[in-house]
Amino acid sequence: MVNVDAMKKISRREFLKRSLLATGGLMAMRYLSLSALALDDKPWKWSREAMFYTPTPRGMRCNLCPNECNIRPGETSQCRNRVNYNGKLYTIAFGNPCAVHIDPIEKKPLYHYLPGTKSFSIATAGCNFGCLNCQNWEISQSSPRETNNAELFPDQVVDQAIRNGCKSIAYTYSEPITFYEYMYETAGIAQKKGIGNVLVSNGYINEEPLRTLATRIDAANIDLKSFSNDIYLKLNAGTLEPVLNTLRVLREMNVWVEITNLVIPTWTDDYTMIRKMCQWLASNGFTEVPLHFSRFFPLYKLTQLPQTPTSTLIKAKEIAQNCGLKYVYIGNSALPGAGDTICPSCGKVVVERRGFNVSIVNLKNGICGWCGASINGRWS
Amino acid sequence: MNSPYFLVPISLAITLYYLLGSLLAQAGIMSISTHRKFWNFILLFVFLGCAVLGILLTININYKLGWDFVKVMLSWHVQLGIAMSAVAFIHTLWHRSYFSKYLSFKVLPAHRENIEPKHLLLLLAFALGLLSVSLQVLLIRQFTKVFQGNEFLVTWIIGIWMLISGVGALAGSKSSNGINIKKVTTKALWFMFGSAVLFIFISGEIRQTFFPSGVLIAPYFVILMVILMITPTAFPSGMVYALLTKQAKSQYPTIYANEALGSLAGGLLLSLVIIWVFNTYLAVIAIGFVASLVLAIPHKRPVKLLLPLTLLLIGIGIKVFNIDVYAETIILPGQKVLSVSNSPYGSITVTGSDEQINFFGNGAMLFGTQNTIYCEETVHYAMAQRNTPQKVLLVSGGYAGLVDELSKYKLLKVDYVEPNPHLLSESKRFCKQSFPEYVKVIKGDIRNFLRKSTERYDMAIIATPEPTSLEQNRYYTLDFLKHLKKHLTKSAVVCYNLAGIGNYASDPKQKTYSSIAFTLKRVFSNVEVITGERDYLLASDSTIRIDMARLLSERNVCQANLYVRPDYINDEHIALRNQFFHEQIAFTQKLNTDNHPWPVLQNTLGYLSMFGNRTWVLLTIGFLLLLIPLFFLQKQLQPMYIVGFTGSAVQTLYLLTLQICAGLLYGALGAMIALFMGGLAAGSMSHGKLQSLNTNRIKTLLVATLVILIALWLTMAYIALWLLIAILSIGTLMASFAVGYLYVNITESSGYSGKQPAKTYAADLLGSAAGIVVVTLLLIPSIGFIATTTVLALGAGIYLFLNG
Repeated sequence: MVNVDAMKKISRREFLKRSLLATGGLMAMRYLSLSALALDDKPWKWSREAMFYTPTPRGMRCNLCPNECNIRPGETSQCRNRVNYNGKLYTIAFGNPCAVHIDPIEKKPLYHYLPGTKSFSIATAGCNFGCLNCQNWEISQSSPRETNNAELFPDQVVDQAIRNGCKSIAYTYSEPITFYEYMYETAGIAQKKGIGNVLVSNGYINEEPLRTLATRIDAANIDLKSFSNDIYLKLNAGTLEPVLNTLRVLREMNVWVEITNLVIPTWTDDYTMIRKMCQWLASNGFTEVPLHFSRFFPLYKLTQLPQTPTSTLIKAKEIAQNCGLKYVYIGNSALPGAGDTICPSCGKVVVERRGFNVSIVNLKNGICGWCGASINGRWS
Repeated sequence: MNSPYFLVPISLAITLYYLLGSLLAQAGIMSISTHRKFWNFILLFVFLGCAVLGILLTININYKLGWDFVKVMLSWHVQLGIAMSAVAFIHTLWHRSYFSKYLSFKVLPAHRENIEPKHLLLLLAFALGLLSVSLQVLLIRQFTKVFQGNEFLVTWIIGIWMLISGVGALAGSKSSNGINIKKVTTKALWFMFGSAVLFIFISGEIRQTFFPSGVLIAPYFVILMVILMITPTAFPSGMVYALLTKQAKSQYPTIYANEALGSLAGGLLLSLVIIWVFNTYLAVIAIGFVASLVLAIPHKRPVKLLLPLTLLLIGIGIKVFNIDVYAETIILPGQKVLSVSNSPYGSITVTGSDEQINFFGNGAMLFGTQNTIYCEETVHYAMAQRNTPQKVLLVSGGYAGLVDELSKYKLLKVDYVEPNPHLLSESKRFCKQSFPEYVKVIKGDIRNFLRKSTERYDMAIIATPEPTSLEQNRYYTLDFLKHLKKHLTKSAVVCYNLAGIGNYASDPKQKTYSSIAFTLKRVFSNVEVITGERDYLLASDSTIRIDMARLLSERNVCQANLYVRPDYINDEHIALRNQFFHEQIAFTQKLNTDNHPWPVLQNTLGYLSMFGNRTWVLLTIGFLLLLIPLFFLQKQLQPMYIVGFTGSAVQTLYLLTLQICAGLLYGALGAMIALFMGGLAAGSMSHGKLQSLNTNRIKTLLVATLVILIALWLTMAYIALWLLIAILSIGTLMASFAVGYLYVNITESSGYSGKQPAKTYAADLLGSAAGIVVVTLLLIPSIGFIATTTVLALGAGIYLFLNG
């Protein structure tokens, strides 16, 4: 029999006191459970000392990307992958990918780099952006401490890639800049074993680490999300200029580059902005760089918008071609011929693409079989 | 945030909250001097802030100091300036008599009512009920659309309404004597109506001011904004009830009954008539028109018709000048709004982007045309599994392009079932597709359709939305699948499509998908997934193949397709992703049943995880909502809190049960509301006539409704639909009768005072708020219907009987 009178004797003050104690206890438990994973010399097993940081009076300043987080002891960076531990800055995304897949290279999308091959694709959690429409938000907006991870150190990654017949390793899905050290070391081993390294990134990285990385990267797909600083801030929590700089540096360092632009209704579908972007690309030597216009579908927090009309994508492609860009593709749509490579000289199809299936129609060693013009790319 | 300066939100907030304070002062809840002191301080603060910042900005410019924070200073200077202007305008009105002596005014003769005050109070109570329930429903619909609410948020909004009404009733109980109740309550009713109209029309503008276009807003912000926007309507509704019961003194049960009758009338009118004809913008004007007719009864002509005529003209003006479409355009910027309408399932907006037609339901994208990949994959991955499928059952999505894809096959019959008749009519209007003769379009719930059908299909394509709500989850449960299987041939294939497990499966997603797959496996021998634009789950007792490219070649079909063709599909990639899917769903195995809608909880957790992992917030707030009022309410009011909690829990459980087993929630909602309100009215009125009735019997009646529900769930499969509906109707009536009776009983046993009815009403509303939130968000998704009902029956029974 429940003694209701006894229950009624708890005063309001007592009730509030007990509730606060209980809440505090719960929070302490969570903190302690995370701390239990720490090792003596580093935060946890899957960590490595960060490559680019500077100790400052305000904490460790990470110099990897333009966010340049000042991280105090025990704190984590904005990308959730760096921690200040025992007087050093560590990455906690090393050897613990949460996503491991084998994808066709065309999925990145990379159309002019080793077409028809497979790419061993990995990602850890974390990202230095916060895009409202992120397709991989469950890992990009999380920390490696929160995701279910595999254990795959750099040499194991390369072994797996070779075993599965992959010609390249793609650092992708979330944001590989945030697992820089893991990517860098893996890329080094892969390079020695003749496996290509592919970076699929938002391009939001400082120049010094970019130049260091670029010595080990063979191809990159960079997301040029818009051509407006304001939109970059509101849609992605970033800025435009570092991304443009990344494109310039990668091209300068002879990394094969392809660019993706996601066309989002009411955000990035403004034709004037698209024209401005294409004009910039053309005037900065990117006419031979493939540009992929991708169709938007409502995802993550951007769900009150419709998918991009195909007419918008077709118009964007026209604008790009009118600006002088030679290889313009439309992705995520069933438009016939949207993925075909057309010789800019004679206008004939040299590579046919249907989804992820590639058929080389008339291209030999990067030369158009119809007219003999050179088609830019890393075809083998 | 889109607009740099918050002109509309600041002006509106100051104006409305000033008026609300003014009402409180008139009602004697707060003194006029306190009210004015408060606004004097606000004026001082904004004036000083604006002035000081202005001087600093001037100094910065004049002396070229180049401060870094100039932009921030300027922003605050302007925002405070807007606030200062609004407050200054109010002050000007206070001192208008100073100016008016210079102007001549004609004062209209005072108007006298020619009916008894008691009848006027009953009329006001009726109008209160009519407006409260209608405005509540319309505001919920609008906020759900503007903030793209899901079931989680709808439940919160209902709970917030009840909570704020309860606070309003408590405040109203503290009103002083000697005020002009009729004048104050009439003003309050029109203030309620005016606020609701305002927020229905400008909620889109407010949303666009603070948040970027098309973005899902964090639930915490939504709840905060809803509280701010709903308070001017919900607070007076509780306050007016308190003022009326105070005036009515010992006749308060009649006020309660009339308020319930007004709610009954409002609920019926809205759900059975108005929302079928008007969109939300016009519906609110229509309700105002009806309320104005009710309130005009005591008045002499011609003033009697002035307000109704004005509202009628406003309604016509809105339609003629497309103000409703304009208001909708603000919510969906950059798109051409083609139509705004209401359906029993919520609002439907149709927009156009070039040739693409988009359908939004409650602010979320339902489907758009020209999505070739989705249409081809949904249809052909399933259809190719069998050589010559003849009869197809298609649930939803016909006008998205699925029927067009089906028409590429030589079929005998396609039964296309669309649960939402409004969506169907809008689709027909805008999609302009003609269907082949063998396609039969059926309006109605699929379960009801299958109950009556004797057809057996070779293919069932279920293209309904994901199981994010109790209503949507009905198409994914074990109970539904078993029922569906009876209408399938031996080798039939069932096809679902889900958003895609992607490159990584988070915990909620893993649990949702594994539950769905596990449930399918319980009914069918083979379950496979084909990954494309989405994940397509195929289930059958016969073989299912995932080597689609080869299969399509063998079948020699899909030549007319743009995407689902042998040369497009990559079998190796599909196989790898298929393996990944199976690995991800291997661990958690929970059946998805009508009783225990497991995916709904997981989807709610997944939704909350988008805004940080704070699932403990969900549990803590629900827990606090239950416990805190019990400690802070007066001892004699605690039973009413429990009664309110139980009553609203019963109503919620009954409505959801009706929906799950009969699919009739939206069609029958008006009738169910009417039954509940009618029961409340009958219970409160009968207290005086049945005073010899043992209170314990009434409490037993309330608890018995829960026991009946448990029995119903256990025997549902064997009961005819008509009997099920009859039992649910009688149960609803029983529960509401008990609540109405106990309301009067508890008020009188608390020792009658003028304030007591309002306080009891407040406790009832607070309990109702907690009941809805805790049951819908916590209990049902966590432990299922039967366990929830059992827990409630035991808990309420023990408490009510032990408390005497």
